[in-house]
Amino acid sequence: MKKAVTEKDIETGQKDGKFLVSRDMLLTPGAREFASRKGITLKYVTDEPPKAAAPLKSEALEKLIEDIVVQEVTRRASAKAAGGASPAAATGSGAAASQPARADGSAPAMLKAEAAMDQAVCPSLDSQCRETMLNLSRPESSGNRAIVTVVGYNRPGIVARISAAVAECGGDLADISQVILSDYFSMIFIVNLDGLERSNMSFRIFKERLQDEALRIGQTQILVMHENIFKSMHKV
Amino acid sequence: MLFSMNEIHETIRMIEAEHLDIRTVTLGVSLLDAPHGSVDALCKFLYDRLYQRAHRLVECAAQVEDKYGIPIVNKRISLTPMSLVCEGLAGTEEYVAVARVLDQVAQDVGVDYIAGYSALVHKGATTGDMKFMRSIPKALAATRRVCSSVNLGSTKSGINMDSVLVMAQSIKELAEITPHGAGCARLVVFCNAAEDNPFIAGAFHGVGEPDAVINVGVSGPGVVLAALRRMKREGRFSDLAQVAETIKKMAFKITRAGELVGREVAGMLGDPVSFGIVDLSLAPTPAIGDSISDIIEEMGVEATGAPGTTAALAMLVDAVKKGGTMASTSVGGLSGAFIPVSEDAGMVAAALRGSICLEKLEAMTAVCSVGLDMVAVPGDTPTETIAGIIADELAIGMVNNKTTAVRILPVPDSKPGDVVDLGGLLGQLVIMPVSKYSCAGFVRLTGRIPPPITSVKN
Repeated sequence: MKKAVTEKDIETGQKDGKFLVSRDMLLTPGAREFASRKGITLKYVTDEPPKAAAPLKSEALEKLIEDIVVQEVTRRASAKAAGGASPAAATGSGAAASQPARADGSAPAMLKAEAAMDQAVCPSLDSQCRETMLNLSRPESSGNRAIVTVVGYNRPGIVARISAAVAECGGDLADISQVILSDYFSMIFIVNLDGLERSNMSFRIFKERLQDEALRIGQTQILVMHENIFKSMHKV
Repeated sequence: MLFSMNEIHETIRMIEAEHLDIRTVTLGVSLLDAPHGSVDALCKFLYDRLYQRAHRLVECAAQVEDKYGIPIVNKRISLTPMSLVCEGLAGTEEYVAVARVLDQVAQDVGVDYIAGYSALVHKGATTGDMKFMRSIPKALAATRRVCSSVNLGSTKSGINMDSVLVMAQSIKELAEITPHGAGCARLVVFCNAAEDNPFIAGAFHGVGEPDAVINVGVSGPGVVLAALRRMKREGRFSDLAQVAETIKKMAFKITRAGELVGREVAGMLGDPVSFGIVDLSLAPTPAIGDSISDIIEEMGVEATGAPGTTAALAMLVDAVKKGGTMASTSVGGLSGAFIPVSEDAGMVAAALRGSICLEKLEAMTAVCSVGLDMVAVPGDTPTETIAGIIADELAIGMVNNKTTAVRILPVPDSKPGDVVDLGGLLGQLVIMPVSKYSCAGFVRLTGRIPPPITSVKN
């Protein structure tokens, strides 16, 4: 779950005109505007210049895995030839140690490859590569998202309260768009609902929970709709 | 962002402010395997089958409603024409008993209407069909949710004039035994009836249909009206091609929403329920701004019924069809635009100010679905005149190879200009004047009007 960062968070969390933004934060447009108005620099934790010029494509990832497997198999073969050192000693992996007889088989080799990636390769990859790999390893987005529209009288804490309610239900904020017109605001949240299913919460309860929150906030209208209706009406 | 702010706001505006809703989700249920002969066995079978198929319909529809935030106004069931299922029953009492069971199951599963108390007699009526048609007034008077329809003609077979007269008598009888003749709102006669129509009162589950299907009828005159008003505000309302284009785009979006809802409900109900069709018809409601008449007037006709009305309506219906067929491959039912007089606030106003009359409505039905719908006439209108009105309307359908229908209410003790409020979606009836000249000689001729030459296509 990403944490929504509002103006207030920036104000309290900033240090010497800098605010550290980590990957688990989602800045509201209002917060960005506030930072730029106050001259606060938003320092992203992943700000280091990326070493790879372009994001890692899936072919590149496959190639990387293949290289690691080949390297590992070659290394193991040479280790064996050099005197049959224990595979567990070579990698420190308990899983591999339990199957020493099949050490040359493809499945343990893959296991080792993964372990090797975790332990040795990943730290050497820049963060962008790692993130891309994580994204690639996830299944395609399920398209199970809700569009939450909030309109009302502007006051502090609205984003925080709505996003807290979303989080409480197991939803994950994927995006926020926000417009403030004098005293009024209009916000659109895109919420990933996969977590709702995991916590066995129905869409109806989720919707009611958010509507309750809007009632408590007062002078606020909230609409919760599954994204499929927008998809079917606007995308061919 | 996945969607632009405009797209999101447009969808919300269409639903919140412009009355975009799903007018009906109708579950069609096949009863072809019903037992014949014993009324008790039949009643038990009907209750069990319908309860089993439909008991989750309302709950599933409510869930979909919640998920997408789009209202589903009506939940309905349509059945295999009951004259086929009831063939072999002895008499009116047994038919009424069957109708009562249908009413009971509709109430128990929570649907608004159950339709399919129907007969198909376009070429001729069996002995059972005749008994069935004569049972309709009592069956409808004894129930609240049962709807009935009779197909009296088709392009292929012509018009069965014997049955037209029988149905005219049934309509008169029904009007007399229900308050304000309101029972007639649940009875419609057709030419070229559609087997997958989800709309009441004419819905039935055709014999060519599978075990169970979900058919969806969308609404949306309010959305089209608002789009035209926006065009005017933005100064783009001058070229007919642009007007048609705007209507097409709106119809596309409405249809997509309908198909989404239909597929979702069918999926939730699970085997053997499959998704059937989306009916593209623009269906008005008595809500202000949700009116076909208002669209016609927005297009520049001062009052619906004035010269130009039919042309404007033709363009509207055609654009709706084009947008809708682009949006879905599962288009069916009646698919056009309804002009039920009582259910459309604009049409009620037109009838009150006298700009629309039965004859103009008849002309309009040549270019839209479905026919003379929810029109009220004085209760003392002769049966033969009602038969003549029906025959005229069916002839338009027969010759033009389209569905036409008549849902007429001869309101007892009323005179032209009177207003009767039926409440809810049925709206306000304005009693319309009827020609004082008789057609008794013609409608009393026996037999069938032969099919037109356009029916010989093979």
